Amino acid sequence: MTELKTPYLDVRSVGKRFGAFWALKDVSLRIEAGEFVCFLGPSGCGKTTLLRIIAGLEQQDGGQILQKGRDISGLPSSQRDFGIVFQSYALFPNLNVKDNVGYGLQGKGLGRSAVADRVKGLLELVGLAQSGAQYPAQLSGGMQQRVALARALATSPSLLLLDEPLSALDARVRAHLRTELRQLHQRLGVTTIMVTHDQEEALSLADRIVVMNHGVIEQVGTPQTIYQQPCSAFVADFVGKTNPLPARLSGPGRANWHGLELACEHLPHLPDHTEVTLTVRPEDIVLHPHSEHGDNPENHGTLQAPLHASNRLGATVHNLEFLGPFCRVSMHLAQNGQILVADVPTAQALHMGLAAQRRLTIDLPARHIRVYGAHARAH
Amino acid sequence: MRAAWQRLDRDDLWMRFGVVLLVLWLAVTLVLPLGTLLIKSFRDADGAWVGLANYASYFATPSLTQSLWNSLWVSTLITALVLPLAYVYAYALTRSAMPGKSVFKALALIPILAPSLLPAISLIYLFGNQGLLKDWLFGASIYGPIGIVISQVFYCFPHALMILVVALSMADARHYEAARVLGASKRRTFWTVTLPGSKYGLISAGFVVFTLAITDFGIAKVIGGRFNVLATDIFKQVIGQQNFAMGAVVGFVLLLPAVLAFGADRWVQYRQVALLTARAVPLVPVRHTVRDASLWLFCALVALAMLVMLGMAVWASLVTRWPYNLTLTLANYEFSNFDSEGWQAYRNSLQLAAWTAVLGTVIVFTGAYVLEKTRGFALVRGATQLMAMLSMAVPGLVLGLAYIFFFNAPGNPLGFVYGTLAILVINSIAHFYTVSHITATTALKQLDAEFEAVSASLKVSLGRMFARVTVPVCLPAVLDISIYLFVNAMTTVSAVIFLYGSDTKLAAVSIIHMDEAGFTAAAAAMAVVIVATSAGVKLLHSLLTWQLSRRTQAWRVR
Repeated sequence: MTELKTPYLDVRSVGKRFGAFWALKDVSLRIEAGEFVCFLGPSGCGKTTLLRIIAGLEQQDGGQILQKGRDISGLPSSQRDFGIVFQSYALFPNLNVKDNVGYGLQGKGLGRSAVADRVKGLLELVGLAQSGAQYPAQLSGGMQQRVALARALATSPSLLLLDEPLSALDARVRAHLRTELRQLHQRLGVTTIMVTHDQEEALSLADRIVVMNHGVIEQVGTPQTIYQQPCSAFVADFVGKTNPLPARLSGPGRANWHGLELACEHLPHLPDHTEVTLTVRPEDIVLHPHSEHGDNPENHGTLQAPLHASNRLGATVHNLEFLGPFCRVSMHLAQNGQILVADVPTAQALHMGLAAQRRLTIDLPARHIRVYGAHARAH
Repeated sequence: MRAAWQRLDRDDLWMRFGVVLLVLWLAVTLVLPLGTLLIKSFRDADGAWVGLANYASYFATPSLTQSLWNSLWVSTLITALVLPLAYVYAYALTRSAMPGKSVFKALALIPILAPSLLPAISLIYLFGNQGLLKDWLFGASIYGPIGIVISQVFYCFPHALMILVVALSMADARHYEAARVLGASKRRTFWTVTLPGSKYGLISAGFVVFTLAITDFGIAKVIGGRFNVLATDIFKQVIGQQNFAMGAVVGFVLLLPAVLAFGADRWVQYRQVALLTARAVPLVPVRHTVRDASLWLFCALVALAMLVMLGMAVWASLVTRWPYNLTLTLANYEFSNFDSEGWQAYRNSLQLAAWTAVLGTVIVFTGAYVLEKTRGFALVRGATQLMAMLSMAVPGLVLGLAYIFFFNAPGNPLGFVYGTLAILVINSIAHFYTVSHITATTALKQLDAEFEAVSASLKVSLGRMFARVTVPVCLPAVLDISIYLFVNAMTTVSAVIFLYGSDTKLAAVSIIHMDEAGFTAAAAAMAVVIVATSAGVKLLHSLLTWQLSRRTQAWRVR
């Protein structure tokens, strides 16, 4: 294979085994310089192991890692080029903020004043110029996180590794730091890999997301691609929410879900009668007030007509969950006894007067129904 | 594709080098001597291999097996007496709202600062042939099991107390609230919450007391009279009859119950699950007049007994001629009148304690660090960990005997240390290794496991990190280790009785010699000097810890 351009980081068929358990199976990945990449997945999916292998903190059992074209697989951590921030921050409790940040600069032949200037600059960068003399225990979680970040950046590494850096913080601080992290990355342009199990974090921060599950990469793509074109039922369910519907193909563009014929737009080349998983996102389900003539809704003009009449169903509200900006409605389908979940903007829910036992007519637009071969990977 | 094996960097190599040094150290100071002792027990006086013949003749000698039986029942009795006493005392310190807790705690720890000989000497003055309270024994003699048991109860009490205080302070107030809400009576709450919660502490304390009691030599020597126990048997076989092979056999017989107790304790500790989670609500004792008053009375009686023991020794050391001339004098402190070494023995002890504290702390802490933080090397590290824990199970007397065989063996290149202060220092470090090692390991485990990874990513060497972060953060533990080693080296008898040379006689040994020669008052005086030294150093240590924590541990205060 000819390579047009050498990627910044090239992970080639990396495997890692703990006893009989394969934490990583044949993982390959290319990361370009300056990218912000998130490893996203449930706990135990191997994302942290992959990060630690890139840092040299774990020894891989197979495969290679190339950084700027140089094979670093055999190098110990101390000879690799990276800065790292751990979930615990691992700040030195007996050193104040200045000494923590300057820890990697001392004893490197830099003058005392050069170190002090660099530390000052870094503290300004993370907005802690006033806190230099304080000890970690005196700082809030968010401030400790910034100190850890400044310390990791002190030696100007070309790769920044972040191991769930925000997960120990409360929701408000987390959202705030997320924005700052994004701005910092845009300012410094340092290639960044962040491990997270929080899909919202990954969607808002990353240039590209690497979704992992059971030690393999499920999908690599931009946040939009991952969300709109998930390549497996697992990704569809893990990133955002979805209704996984076990079904069987019954013809071109048609699938049978528990006795209901549904039209679906995205059909892979699968033979009839193949077992598949259909997914439809809760926000893509369209709700109408109940009408006796299922194929003739009252508010016809305001809604896009479905591609096929068979995707119009009758349903009864089973349960209603108020979630602020929207309501999550779980509905019981009269035709096949299954449950579907839909998200409706709160204003619309109020307008429709949604309540338990309320009868509805719903549309499952065919272009929003995705089809995945077999549901082995469905979560 | 087979992965390239990660190369070791310089730090990895240094750490592994450190582990290897530690293995060598523990092998030379502990494992090889014990091995030599074992081999010795299979040989006759001329060095010929006789298999189990020595053991057979041991068990065929009624006077020797009698000692084994004596040791077992006396130690069991001591354990049965110490545990309830220490448990109630610890309960009062942790679960009552009685006044004066810190004073009571300090008084209860007095015996730790003294050689085990001190309570025995005091008992002789109280209940001996010319004792103050001789009538209290209704004609029974203090020389024998009664004296041994009472002295040992004093000597072992603080060791059990410390473990039980820790066990009882780990209480989650929520359990007690739950019991109250569910309508459990006080008695039922004690049996269902308090006692199960401190069960492991109680078991652990039991093993510690039993091991201390069965392995101690000084008390049986001074107050045992004609009542023989294993520890005195070893001494008689080796020093009295020069029967080294039989000494080795008795040594192994003594090692056995200690190792069993130790193994059982480890097993119990392993089964213990953390009772206290991070979310536990600490229990704050509330005032309860009747309970607090009765516990205070109990503690006052125990503390009084401690003070009487110490006071009796001090008084006896100051009296001209007991019991005929009670005028006070300092003549008993003119040690050169009673023992050839005089005050030199005390100076030797000071030197030994200082060297043991300094060198021991460096070796133990650095050793624990390399064991804890070396990457890979798992088998060697596991084996070393086992060796570090083994030392606790080895009675001092057995270790001392093993040192004779090992270091005095012809052809041993290390033979030059025999008879010097160096062998005493090495022996003391080896003897008190385990507790220090556990202290260091516990402190190191509290450090964030990612410190080393951070240092590696910032290209800072481990040595630099050790000096700038690890040692400063662990300073309280480092100081604890040094004071523990100092006090133990100052007070120990059993570990060094076989090993001192003509010019390295120690204070604790001279107590035994002066007592044997009938100069009991001088022996008491020397014991008092040792207590005063230990207490003084302990005080200094507290001041130093307080000073240091103000300067370097500022980060601990929010």
